[in-house]
Amino acid sequence: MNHEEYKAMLELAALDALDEAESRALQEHLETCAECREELDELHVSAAALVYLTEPVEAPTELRASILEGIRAPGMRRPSGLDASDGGDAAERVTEVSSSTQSNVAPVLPFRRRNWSTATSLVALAASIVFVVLVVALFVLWNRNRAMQLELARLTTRNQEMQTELARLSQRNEEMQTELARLSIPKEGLPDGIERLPNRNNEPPKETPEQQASKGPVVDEPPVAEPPSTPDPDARVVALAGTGRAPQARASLSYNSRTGVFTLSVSSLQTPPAGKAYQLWYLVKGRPVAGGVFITGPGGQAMMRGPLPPQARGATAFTVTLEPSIGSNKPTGEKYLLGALS
Amino acid sequence: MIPGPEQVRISDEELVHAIVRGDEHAFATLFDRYNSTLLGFLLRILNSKAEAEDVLQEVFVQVWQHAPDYNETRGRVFTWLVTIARSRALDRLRALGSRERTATRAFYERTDNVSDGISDAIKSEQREMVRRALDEIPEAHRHTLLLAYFEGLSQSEIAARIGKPIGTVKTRTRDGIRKLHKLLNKRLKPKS
Repeated sequence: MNHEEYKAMLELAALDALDEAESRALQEHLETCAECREELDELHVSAAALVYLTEPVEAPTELRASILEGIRAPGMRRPSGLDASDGGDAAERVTEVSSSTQSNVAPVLPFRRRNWSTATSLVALAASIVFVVLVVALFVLWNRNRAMQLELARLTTRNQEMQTELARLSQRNEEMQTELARLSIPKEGLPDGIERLPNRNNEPPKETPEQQASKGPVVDEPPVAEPPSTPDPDARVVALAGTGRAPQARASLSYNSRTGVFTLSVSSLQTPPAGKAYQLWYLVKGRPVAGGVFITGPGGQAMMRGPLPPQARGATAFTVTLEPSIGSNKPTGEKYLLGALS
Repeated sequence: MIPGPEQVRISDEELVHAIVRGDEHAFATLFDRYNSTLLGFLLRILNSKAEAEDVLQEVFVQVWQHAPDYNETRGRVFTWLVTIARSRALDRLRALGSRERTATRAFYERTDNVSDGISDAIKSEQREMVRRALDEIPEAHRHTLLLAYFEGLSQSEIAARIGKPIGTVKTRTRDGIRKLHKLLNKRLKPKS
């Protein structure tokens, strides 16, 4: 590179706009060329004048104080000429030319920053706050997760308990269904070992299989009509005749006003169908009052005896209808026998 | 004859010599003389008050520590201060990684506003001279010159910014600073 070429680099050098290779090359040339050094220095002056394009801004008082205090701080390097460890004369010190080719620019030394920039401090503070918030949130979520796990375990246990209870109730329901079925089936239709419960006509409760077994063999016979008892002078007797459904059927209802006991004797009345029974009704002022239920045996006979219901006193007519085997509160079936006081 | 204020004013070079001797008062005087110019300059480059103040402190600490390195045969104290300040500011700019700039020409808009408290007529006169000199430089040359000086962009970066070949940018930059130099040599008489 010739001298003119180095001269052509001076303008850019004054602006520190040369690349590294060009800067090094020019630096070497400047060490031996006073003309270029002088011209470069003048260009630096002109470049520095550009500073006057900016508006001056007075430094804050505290900044001034800080800077002036800073040069007095312990550990602050004094101007080289007064360095106690330096035995040389400051006037003999060789001016250093930085690699940037700018005159009188000393190498930048590490400087202990006064403090972080405001922006850096704010960013660091914000990051710290975010970190703390995240840690707290993590702790809270971990606690909630643990509580929910415990609740889930509790609910699972409860669910199992309810399942067990449901199974027990289902079994109990089956048992009750079976019991209900047993109540609805005529004795003849009952499975072995199943006994009918007492009906509504106050028949004495059947003995349990265990009770019967303790007494010996059980003769499962349909109730048979007992021979009519000796006429009671205190009794009033009403004859019931069969309706079109049972034209051959006959019944005799006697009531003893002294004892308050009635006796119903039935004959030639066909056996009711399974799940059905005959029911006696007392008609008091035309209003039926339920009496007991009974079934007839293969011979069509039946007898029913018991105290007359109080509300049936004053009855003037009587009828027998076919009802469910457990009886009914009001007549629902066909009439088979009818009779009235004469 | 009673000497005028300018005759008793200590020159910048004398202040630096005193600083070399550890004279804190001389240091404070130099600070008071140039802090506003330098801080305004740093603010223009860094666009941050905090960063500018931080760099200003670095500049004057360097002045304090390396006053013996100043060679008055190589240039004025003011040039020395500005060179240190610009170097520090561009280093800080690169460290911050900020390349966002306001348009260079924005700061160049003429304004008659001078911050309160600045009563240095010499500085005002010099400021006006520089502005008038720049007015005479072609717009394209002025633009590349100011990009290079205030934003520290390399020639290739300027070429990319304005969309011109790097050769064109180099020519404009050289011509711009050369023209400014000639104009200021005619008009600007640097005073300390």
